[in-house]
Amino acid sequence: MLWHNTAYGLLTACLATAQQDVFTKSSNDTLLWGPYKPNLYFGVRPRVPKSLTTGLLWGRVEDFTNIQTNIRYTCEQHEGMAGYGWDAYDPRTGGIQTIHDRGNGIDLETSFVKFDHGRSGWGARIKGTPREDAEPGAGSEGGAHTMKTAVWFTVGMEGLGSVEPQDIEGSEEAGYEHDVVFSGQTNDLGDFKLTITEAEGNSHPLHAHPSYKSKPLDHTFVHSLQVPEEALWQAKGTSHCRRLTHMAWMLILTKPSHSDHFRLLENNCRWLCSRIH
Amino acid sequence: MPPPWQTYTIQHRPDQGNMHAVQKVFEGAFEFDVIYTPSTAERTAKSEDLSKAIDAVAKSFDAKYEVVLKPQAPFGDADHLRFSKSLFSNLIGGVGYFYGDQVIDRSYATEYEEENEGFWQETAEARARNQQKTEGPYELFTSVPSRPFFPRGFLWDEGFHLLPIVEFDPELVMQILSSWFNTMDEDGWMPREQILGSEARSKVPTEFQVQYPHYANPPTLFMVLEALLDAAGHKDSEFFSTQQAISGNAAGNALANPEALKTWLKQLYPLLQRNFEWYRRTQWGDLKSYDRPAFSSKEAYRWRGRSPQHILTSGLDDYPRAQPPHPGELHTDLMAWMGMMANSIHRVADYIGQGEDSARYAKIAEAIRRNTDDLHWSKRDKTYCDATVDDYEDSAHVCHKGYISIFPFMTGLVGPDHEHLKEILDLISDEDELWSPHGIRSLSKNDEFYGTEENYWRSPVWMNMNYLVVQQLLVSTTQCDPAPLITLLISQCTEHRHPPRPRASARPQDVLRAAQEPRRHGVQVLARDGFRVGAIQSGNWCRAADAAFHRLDEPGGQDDAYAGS
Repeated sequence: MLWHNTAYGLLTACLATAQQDVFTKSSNDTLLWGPYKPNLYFGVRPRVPKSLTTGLLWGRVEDFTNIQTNIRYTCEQHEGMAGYGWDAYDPRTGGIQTIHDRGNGIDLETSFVKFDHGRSGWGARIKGTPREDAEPGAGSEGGAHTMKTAVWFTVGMEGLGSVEPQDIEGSEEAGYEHDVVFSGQTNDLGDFKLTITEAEGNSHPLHAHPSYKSKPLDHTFVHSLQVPEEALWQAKGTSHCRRLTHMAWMLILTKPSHSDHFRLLENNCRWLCSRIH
Repeated sequence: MPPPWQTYTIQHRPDQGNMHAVQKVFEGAFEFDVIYTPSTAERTAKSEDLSKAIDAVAKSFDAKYEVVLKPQAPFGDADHLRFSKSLFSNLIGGVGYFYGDQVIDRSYATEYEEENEGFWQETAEARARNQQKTEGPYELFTSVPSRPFFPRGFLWDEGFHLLPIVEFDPELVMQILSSWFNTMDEDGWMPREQILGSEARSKVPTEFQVQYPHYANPPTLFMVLEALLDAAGHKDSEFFSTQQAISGNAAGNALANPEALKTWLKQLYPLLQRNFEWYRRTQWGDLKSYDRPAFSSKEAYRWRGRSPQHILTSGLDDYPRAQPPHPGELHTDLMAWMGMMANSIHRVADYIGQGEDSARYAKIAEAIRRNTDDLHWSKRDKTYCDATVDDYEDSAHVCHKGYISIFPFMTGLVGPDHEHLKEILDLISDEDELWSPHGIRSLSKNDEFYGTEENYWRSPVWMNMNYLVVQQLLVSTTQCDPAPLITLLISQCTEHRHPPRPRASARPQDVLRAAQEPRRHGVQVLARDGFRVGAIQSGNWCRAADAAFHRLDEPGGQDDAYAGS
């Protein structure tokens, strides 16, 4: 009953090529980038395999307990969001998403737009506004306008190609004072720059503890890793490995003193994966 | 001790690497920008450009939405408009790109033919041999039923997701359809749930990760082909002028030229044929072994992949079927889907000038139409029913009134002059059977299994099915006014027209809330795999229903529907 026909295989190959012609280059340019990781609250990637991927994480950082559960990354049912989603979205030009994060006492607006129909790249604006119903926290006794929020923007490269921060040498141990610029390239994307701005008008927490001096919070911090792709992102079988990765990220993001754990996981992931399966 | 906002900072260690985290710590309100600039950019955008672009995007979206989807009163008022824009934007903004390998059992075990009595035990054993392997990589450009719960492509959902987008961005729809059809194998099979890569798999329990090449799923993508033809089948249709008026740029340009639609369909056509033939070849129903007189000796269908409790492949998971399962079963809903599929491919063949094929598909469609009546209409119960084989090896109907009974109607096989149309409309409008104050129930209130066990397709009102009913009431009949049903459905999908408390904006959970309201009255409304699993953001099938309301141009029906509400 089964019926294999190799001619069809060839046909498919031809089709894939031919279909490119129906969809014009300018049209494909407008669709190249998008929030194409809908499993994340906000994750921009291009519509090509193994490429540049970005993600957004955030959490209120006013005590030592809630942060364990309050860091947002993948869309989850149990996080008590007071709603999130796109208020406007046009796949050719972009749109505006709002995220009502009751648990963290903050509303986020993540806008995503394409410049010159995608020919000049794209931009995203991440805007946070403390919610009126935010419970006062240990860091915001002065009112919601003093609420402390940490935001992490992740920049990853899945396949061949590179992305790395500029001014590695010039950047002080204390972090970047101004915009952070990544430069990179892939075969599909060519050379590119990714800039994460430091906008005027933001306030950053000030405090008297000596730790501030070596790492002032009006700076931007960047932590880079070489993640073994085949083990962590692609490994066979492996929601377990994926969980390890996620765990490792959480560790590194929330418990810097434990980042050795990450190294350990990183080194042992392959071994662990082979044992789990 | 440093305060938490100091403690929870990452080590500053910028370096080479393939993964970078960038951290900022804020007090109070904040904003920052991320700007991607390719070296080929005509200019390097700055934050000021971004501000302008964000303003422009909001405005152009509003304008395009209203020009293309033409919301009619009362859906043009501020509340409805905000709500339906949000519903639509979530659907289209949830489109994702997925890449990676997937897990498929290609053992083609003989048990999977499901030809013996007790076949479900044999297939369970065959599955337990765990012959699945990862294969690929595959890629898929698709929308998703739910961002937190089902962030991946589902075949049976996708057709319903795309229908509302056809007019807004037909070329996006074509791209998504191409992407789906390109996942087809040499036999013509497509995985019904596309779980690509380890990140996608991390959301799926292991036992549900495996795809089986003998499993079908409702071929909803073929509905979308018809929608594209309806919208864009004629050069002088308003569709093209609207597209040209709103695009003025790259958007939809390919389709602004009818020849491009034709070219695209010509290229897609072999895949459509292969897929259609796969359904006919693998999901056939047995007419020869039993005494089943029918117009055609070929057209009869049976879902593979059933167990005593479920036919998950049908999408109607726990809808009551023949008990115990039998290899001689015939399933009404699959027959009806095949009729829709045959009509669709017939129209495509016709449109691209494949005259001989077109005639052949028309014949198949006609044979399915005739056989639906010959094999599935029960004179005793006056409704369409599944068939099975009884203890005396005779063919026997299995009648559970509900969506199954009206499937031939929902898929356009029961036209305005059909002899059974009246019985179907009576069933739909009977409050003791399918009509509820919240839409058409999946199972009749009089059925013995109504509301029992999992109660997934045994009473709940499903928006996508109700959309099909509305569509048929609009296009196929002149005898029944769809307005009352439409009024009910919109009240399920939107907030109350006059919300008790004004809200800043309507959100998907409002769909959930509105839809949960009727639950207190003993009826459950489901927009996608909704409430049993409690999936928030399950509004995408609601959006399909919403689209139907925007399409109401008939002045009479329109005004009558809402004047009194």
